[in-house]
Amino acid sequence: MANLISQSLTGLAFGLVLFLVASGLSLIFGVMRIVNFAHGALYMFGAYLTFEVTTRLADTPGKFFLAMLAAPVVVAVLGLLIEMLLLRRIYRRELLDQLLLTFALVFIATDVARMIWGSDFKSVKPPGFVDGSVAVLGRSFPQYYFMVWVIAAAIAVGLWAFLYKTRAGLICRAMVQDRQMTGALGVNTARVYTGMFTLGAWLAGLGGVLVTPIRSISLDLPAESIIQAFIIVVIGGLGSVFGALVGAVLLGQMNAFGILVAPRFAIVFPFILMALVLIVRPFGLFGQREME
Amino acid sequence: MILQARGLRKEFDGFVAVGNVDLDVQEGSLHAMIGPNGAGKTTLFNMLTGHLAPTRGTITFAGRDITHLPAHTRCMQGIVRSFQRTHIFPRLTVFENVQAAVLSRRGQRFTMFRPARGLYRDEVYAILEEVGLSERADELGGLLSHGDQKRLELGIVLALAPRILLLDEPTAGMAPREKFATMELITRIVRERGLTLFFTEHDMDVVFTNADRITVLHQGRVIADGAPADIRADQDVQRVYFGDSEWLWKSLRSTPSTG
Amino acid sequence: MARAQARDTQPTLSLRPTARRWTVYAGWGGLVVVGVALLAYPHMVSRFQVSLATEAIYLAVWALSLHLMLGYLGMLSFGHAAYIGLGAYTVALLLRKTDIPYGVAFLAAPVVSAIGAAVVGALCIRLRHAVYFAMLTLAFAQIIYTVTFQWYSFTGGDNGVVGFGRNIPAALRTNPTNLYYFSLAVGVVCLALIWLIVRSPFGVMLRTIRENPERAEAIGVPVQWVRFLTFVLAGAFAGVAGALLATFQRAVFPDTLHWSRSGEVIIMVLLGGMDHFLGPVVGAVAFLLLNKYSTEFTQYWQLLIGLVLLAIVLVFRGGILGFGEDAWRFMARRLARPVHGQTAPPTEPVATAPAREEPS
Repeated sequence: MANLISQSLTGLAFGLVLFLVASGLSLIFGVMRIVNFAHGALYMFGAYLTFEVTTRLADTPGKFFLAMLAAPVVVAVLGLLIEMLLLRRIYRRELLDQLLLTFALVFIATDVARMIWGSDFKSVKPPGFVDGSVAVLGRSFPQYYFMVWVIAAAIAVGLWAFLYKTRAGLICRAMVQDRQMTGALGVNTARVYTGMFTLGAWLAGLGGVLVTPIRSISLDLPAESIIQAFIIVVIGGLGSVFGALVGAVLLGQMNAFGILVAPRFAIVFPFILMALVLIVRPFGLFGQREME
Repeated sequence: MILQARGLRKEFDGFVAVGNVDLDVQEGSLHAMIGPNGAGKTTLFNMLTGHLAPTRGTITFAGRDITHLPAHTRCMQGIVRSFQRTHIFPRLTVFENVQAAVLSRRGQRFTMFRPARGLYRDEVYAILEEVGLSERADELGGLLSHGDQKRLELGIVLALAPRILLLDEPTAGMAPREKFATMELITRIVRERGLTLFFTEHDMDVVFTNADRITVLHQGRVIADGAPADIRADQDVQRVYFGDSEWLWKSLRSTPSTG
Repeated sequence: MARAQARDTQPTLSLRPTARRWTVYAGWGGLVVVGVALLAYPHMVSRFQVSLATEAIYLAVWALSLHLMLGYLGMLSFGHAAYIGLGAYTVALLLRKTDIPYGVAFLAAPVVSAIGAAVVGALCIRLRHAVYFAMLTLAFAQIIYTVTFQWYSFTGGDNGVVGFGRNIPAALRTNPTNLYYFSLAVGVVCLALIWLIVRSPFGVMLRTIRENPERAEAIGVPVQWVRFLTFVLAGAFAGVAGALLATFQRAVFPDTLHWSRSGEVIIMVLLGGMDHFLGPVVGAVAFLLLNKYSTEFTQYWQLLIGLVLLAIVLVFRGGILGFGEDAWRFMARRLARPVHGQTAPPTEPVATAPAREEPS
């Protein structure tokens, strides 16, 4: 029993990290109708940058937090550049072109990471004050996970506040519902797009930072994360942040228990979950019916 | 009655777009459906064509219940529709656009091992002649002018050997001269072939010039149904369209009737 | 939803009822030349290049199978590696574990792939939105990949299936030239079949769906059935490619089913040119050459392929053949002008003609 709970909590931690990535992805799709394959690559950069910062500042106290501040910003800038230089040119194009553009970016990003950091696995230790374990129901449990929950919860609340309590957030929600109409009402959609993509990139970068003490950093990160993030977003419904949260938690749990039940095939379970959801609800659990 | 609807209703998450509509379309008639924006015309239209499933009610065509027949099968029954915005196949040539329809009607949809190139050439060209596009047979559909695309659409529709034509705003976006020409073409073809025409329209001139029966829809319900002269005089209709302005009532009554 | 660019409205896919005579003759002539070249090829080049060509052939068949869905129907599948993989594993496992003769195993490959595609297709086709469809095809492909990878006892997992080579007829096994001719024959048969399908009424239906699925339905095309059937056909042809792959490599590994392979076949189709019938063939060859020879000047293969894809999406929308066609037309115009001393007939169509006046 304790085993189950411990596993569940682990799944929750990882799921919440993915929530950060997935929420960015979901918003980008909801507002911009762009499927951003490169999101996983942004996540990867967040992780690698964390490694870079913590390694270079090896003796500085609070290095992890510095990384947590700096890395997402760098990734956000990267996202900004991508949006301004590349994505803008294909907004009017068919879906296929958009998918392929972001797909191409994954290839490029992976090799750029390889150039800078090489192909071996990297790891990062959790920040000093949470690097121990805590006894939970008789099993030892990394303290770091608590930090992840707190931060992810804070972000979730922050996103909610942004979407429902600010004018900018209202505009975003309006664009998810009806892009053209919002544009017709005088909203500068171009700026919203840029802002949204940058925000999404920031979230992905933060996710990358937070995941580093949990698992090793490698060039496989883009692929793994994007598939998982997509599953979350699809389950939750494209454009719904709440859906992303639900989906992320579900996925985290599914992963965690999958490993207990059938370790070798655990990887398949999220796909089965996604397939089941789509079969029953072709637009995800909370997805919008009206897709252009 | 070739097309009948009884108790047709469509709800979207509690919003009633169409509520309890009865419709009778007589064979060989030119029947128009009008109503202000948001009256439910398109919704009703989509139910007739099979693109939307009604929440309640039945639709009968030539005695057959077609309420739940999928859209692509309705076309085989002789119910053929066109679209509000021009909906042709842009990267196919004019010839191919029509040929596709002919092939479909002739049941050649899954034929895989015969070249389609020369099939039914004569039939396709005959239709192109009739809509005045035979000289442009090799041009790509997407490059035609708007008016020509409407003709092409008409050609596609004819290729399906319809018994009833369901046209959604056939003259939308056209200049007056074009409207006149298009409607003339349509009504001529309908009369020559003994078809039935059921169309929605916004342009009152077009409606009152061509229709011999008009149904008026407002907020999802039929508020008037009958001959054009009766509809013109109907006060409910006028109120729905123009509010209670006496000036407008007067000017409406004084519009010369060209029916 | 036609794209506004002029290039996109001049595809060579469309059937032209009145082709100019000389292009028809040129077409046939070209075909003969190419045919002779292909037949003579092994005798003119090195052994390595013969096997390179053999590899190109099965990649071309695989790309053609995707193109049937992607180019003609407009359906993007991110899981197409699954079907070449199923075909390859079918041949490998049958030859390894049973006494079934090679010919039967070969024919079984497209059948198994088709069945796989039918199962996946039945579940995916219901998703009308392109993104959900793409993601679900990816999901299923990943499921198949993972099962293949993990089911050690049956598929050999990471170690793949090896040692079935002895059940391949000696003629094909020992002589690369024979293998080349065999693959060429199979490839040509597949090409011919796909050509027939595309030119047939069914092909016309495909294109109507791509252009305007709503309208297609309105002219009586059972859109979902057509999509399903095309998905299955694409899977079957991919299965044939898989059988060729297994014969060629004499070993089959799970990475054949990896999602990045699905990405690669998409790149092949785009690289060659999505609007041309032979685009996938050109794309497969180009991709293979790029793959084999890029190591000579860079170790960053993914960077290269990413940049190529980026270039295609941003600039060279028509791929190699599209670019070639544009260049040809450009040259033809430049050449025509001074000779005739008058403006050459427009080869770029006028965007919109003014509304026709109807005589009253």
